[in-house]
Order: sequence, then C-alpha cells, then structure tokens
Amino acid sequence: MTSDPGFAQVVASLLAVTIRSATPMLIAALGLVFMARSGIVNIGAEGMMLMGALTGVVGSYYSGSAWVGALSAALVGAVLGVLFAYFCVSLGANQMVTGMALNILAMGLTSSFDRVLFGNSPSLPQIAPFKPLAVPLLSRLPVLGPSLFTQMPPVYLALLLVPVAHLILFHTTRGLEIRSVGEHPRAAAAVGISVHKVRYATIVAGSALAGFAGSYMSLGLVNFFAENMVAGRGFIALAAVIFGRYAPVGTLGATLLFGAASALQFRLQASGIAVPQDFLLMLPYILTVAALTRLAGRTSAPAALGRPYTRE
Amino acid sequence: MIAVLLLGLLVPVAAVGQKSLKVALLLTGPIDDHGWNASAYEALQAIKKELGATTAYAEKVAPSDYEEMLRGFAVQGFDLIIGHAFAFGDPAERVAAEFPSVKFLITNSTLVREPNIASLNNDNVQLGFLAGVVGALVTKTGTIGSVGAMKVPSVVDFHAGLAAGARYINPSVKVLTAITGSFQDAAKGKEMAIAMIDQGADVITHLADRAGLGAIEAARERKVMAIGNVGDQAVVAPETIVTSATARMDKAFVPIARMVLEGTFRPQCFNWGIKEGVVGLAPFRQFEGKLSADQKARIQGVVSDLESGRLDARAYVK
Repeated sequence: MTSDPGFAQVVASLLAVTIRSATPMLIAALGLVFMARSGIVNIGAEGMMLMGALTGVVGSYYSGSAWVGALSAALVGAVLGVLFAYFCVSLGANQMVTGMALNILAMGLTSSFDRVLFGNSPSLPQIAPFKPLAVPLLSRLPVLGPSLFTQMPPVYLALLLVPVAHLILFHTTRGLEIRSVGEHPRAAAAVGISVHKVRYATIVAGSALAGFAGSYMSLGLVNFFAENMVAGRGFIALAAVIFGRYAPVGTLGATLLFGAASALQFRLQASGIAVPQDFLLMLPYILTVAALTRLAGRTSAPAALGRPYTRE
Repeated sequence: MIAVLLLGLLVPVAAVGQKSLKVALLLTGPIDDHGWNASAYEALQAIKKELGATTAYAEKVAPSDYEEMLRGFAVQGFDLIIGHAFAFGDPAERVAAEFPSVKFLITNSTLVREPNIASLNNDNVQLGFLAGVVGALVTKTGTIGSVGAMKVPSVVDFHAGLAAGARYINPSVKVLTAITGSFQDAAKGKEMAIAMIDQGADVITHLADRAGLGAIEAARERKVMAIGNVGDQAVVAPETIVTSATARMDKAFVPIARMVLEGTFRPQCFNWGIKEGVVGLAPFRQFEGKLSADQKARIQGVVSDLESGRLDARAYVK
C-alpha cells in the first residue's frame, strides 16, 4: 500500500466496479441458496434473469418508474418459478432438463417480445432507469466514499438481503423446515412438514429474486435490453452458491470474488498491459474454477439436492 | 437451435409468377443487433425495393446449421445466397459445388471459387482509420478507447485501422483497445468503456454491436464523446456521438445482386471500401456546430484522399 491518492482512487473505483458487477449474481444466487437448501437445483436462473431483464425494461417503459419495472420483473420471475415448481415438484420432472428448457424458452420469448414491443429500430426505447443513491455520511468519506457508497438502490438491497437470508435460513423455524426438506424430505414429512409446499415457496421466492436480478442488469448496469444480455451470469450465480457452500454469507464472498476478477480484467485490458486479452477475459472464470477445486470434496450440499420427492 | 430449424421451415417458399431475382441472406446474429447484422438486413430490404427481388433471410444461424441452411435456400431455387460472415465460406464451398447455377456471396472474406462463389472483403481497416482520424482530432486528453467484441478478423482490422488513423493525425495520441468476448454482453461493454474513461479516454468507439451500445452508454453517462459504428448511431445518444464510422452493406449487396440479375456476376473478391461507399462517415448531426471548420476540413480531406487512393490506410498500420 502506498499513500499515493491516485492509487487509492484506483482501488476505490475497482471496489465500486466489483460490487456493481457482483450484484446481479448475488441477488440471483441468494434465491438459488434458498432453493438449494430445500433440495432444488435451478439451472433455469439464467433464463429467469433474462426474462426479468426484458420485463424490467417493459415495466419501466410503460410506467415511467424503475421500481415498477423491477417489481414486474420479480413477478414474471415468480410466475416462471410456479411453472418450474409444477414440473419439478408436482410432476417430479428432472430439474436439470426443466431448467435447461426454461433457458431456451426465455431466449426465444425475450427476443420475440423485444422485437414485437419495441420493433427493429436503430434507436432505443426511453426508459426510467435506477438512479445512483448516495448513502448519507458514508458517501462523504474521503477517496472511498464517492465511488463505493454512491450505488444503485438494488445494490444496497442485495447487500441487506445477505444477513436477512442468513437469519431466515439459520435462525428461524421456517429456515429449519427448508433445510430439513433439503436434507431428508421423508423425515421432514414425517414430522408434518409439507415438502411440496416448502419447495414451491423457495422456488417461487427464489425465482422472483432471479427476475429482480435481471431487471437490475437492464435498469441499473445498462439502460436497455439486449438479446442474451445476461450472458452466463445465471450460471455463475449457481457456481457461487456451491462455492459459497450453500450459505448466504459464503455466496456473497463468492460473487464478490467473481466481481473483483471481472473488475480487474476490465482495468488490465484498458491499461493495454502486455498480456493477451483472451487470457484476461478468462480471469474471472479461471479464478472461479481454481476456487472451486480448492473446495473439492469439502462441499456441504444438501443431501436431497436435485432429487424429486414423491409422497408414499 | 430449435428456433433456427423452425425458422428454416418458415422461410417463405416464394411463389413468383414471372422471372424475378430471388435473394437469401444468412446471418449469425439477430437483425436488430444495431450493427453488422442489422446493416445486412437493411441491405436486403434495399435489394427488394430497388431490384424488385424476392427476399428471405434466416437470423441467428448456429455454426452447426450453416451448411444445411445454405443448402435449404439453394434447393428452394434462390439465385443469390449471401452468407454474412467469413465462417460461411467452408460450408458454402461444399454446397456451391452441388448447385452450380446458384450464386454465393460470402462477406468479410476473400474466398473465390469457380464457377459461383464470390466474396466481399469490406475494408475494416478503412473503417477503423476513419474512426481513428475523427477520434484523434476531437480528443482533448489525447486518449481514445475502443471496445471490440472478439478477436475476429473484422475487430482486429478495425483496431489496427483505428490506431493507424489516430497516428496519421497525431502520433502522440494513445489508443486503448479491449475485447468483451461477446457481442451481446452490454454490461461488460459498458464497464470496459468506463475503465478506459477512468484511464483518460475522452472518445469511445466500438465494434461490438449490442455490447458496443453499453460502451456508448458509458460515454454518455461520463459526458465524454463517442464514435458510433456500422450504422449511424447518433439516435442512440445524440449529444455524445460525434459521428459514426459506417459499414453500408447496401452499397455492396445491391450492385452485386444487380450483377446476378444481369448475368454479369463472376467469381471474384470485391475489395470494397470508401470508394464504393461501403465504408464511410455518418453526418455530424448535433456535432455539426461543435466541430471547428478546420476539424471538419481535415476529416473531409482524409475521406477524399482515401476515396481517390492518394492515401492508403494500410500503409499506416504498424
């Protein structure tokens, strides 16, 4: 560390980019933690985020409010969640296949609806995006304050959600029910917990979060919808859940790591450093893989993860 | 994949009475990508309008489907089939051999095969050169940045031309380039541009279609200038976009389709650029009054020198 203000400025901006980039993954991943804890793997998060990204733009375009956009995105996410739950919980369908189908469905639906609603024109629809919100006092801190504590509201919301999710999962009866359903559904059912109800609840809530995460991308990170704009973040969120050992706090760490690696590679590429750009592009993914391999064999996946439950 | 197959079935099996030209276009991306594919789609509409041709297109064609889609259009009796990416070259060679009377045009390519494959080698070095010239003339910080999508020939040429154009105007101008790895990841395109602006860039350009829109948005938010690409992008951010380096596919597709119609089409590589109107600059729009007469004259001078051949953009590529 040096006391050079230029250096501190660089660190502050790197931290800001890290948090900004990590947020969509964090919000989606928190939803995925709840699902995973109840025994559900949802690789359809990518598609749910994409639907959320388009719905957010549509909602904001017609209402003139980013929050209405974000809420409609969460609602559409929840509806997709009901669909996913119907197949995977009620019908006991394979979760991987259903999730993949959802991703393909979302790709097709979003590009079709985008074109039907906004047409094929060189301009972009005028929407009301999220506006940066400065945290009182903290944003006045020298160097770090302005960049770190002047973020879009969903960023603060995502960070607040982490302790809330932790409390719900590990310190409430509801959380205990969710975890028992994920560990041993038959035993949970024996003590009177409705496995199907719990799984429906986590899927619908988690999918709403995925939809919201998508809307932050199209109303916060950029101010428009682009086909396939989620670009793999739903899958990274899933990896972050595993890496974060199925806990909200761990997941926060995992998404921040990925965000930091992304922020670093943006910076390095732009600085014209003599390292092949393709290698820099791989950086976030390499870091994720490296982190995952270190954890190999030590994961704490819920015992009934991915397995459908049928009443006897 | 499924979408592509369905699209193949939906392509109108045109029922035409008298003999009219039938032109098909195959795209690797969506027609509304604000860039490369959008330009080709507009060109197809121009062929329809100016030559009265029957047209069809397939967008978002996956590499595994290139050959079958090409064959599908050939079977349906299209006269000219345009594969709008260099990667259509290999599959086109196989299909073209089966349908000697069908003409094929591959863009961003130099492929030539008797008797029926021609290629359009649209000059991406000139495209970048123009952006570099404009960027170097308007920058106040002496740094310009460009966000490319991938290390594909078009982006590599564009970036080489960009650096050359900037150097031609002012050797001390710094050119920052980066790639996003995606034509669609707008959030990444934006962060990439922000990183460049943080390092002093006050002019941002791109060759990244939708991801490039993110770069333009970064320029707009940070109140620096931008140079649009492929299409005239001033509508996206009028107060930010100085001009756009344009790649006008209609200036190539219409004359080539006319050759097919008139029977003068020959297998050859069309090395087309500024002279043919394929490469150019969009109007300055809001910047008409913000640029000095000297700046405009120098830009115009470079354009006409490239047009007449007095200036060779490639000679300045390092």
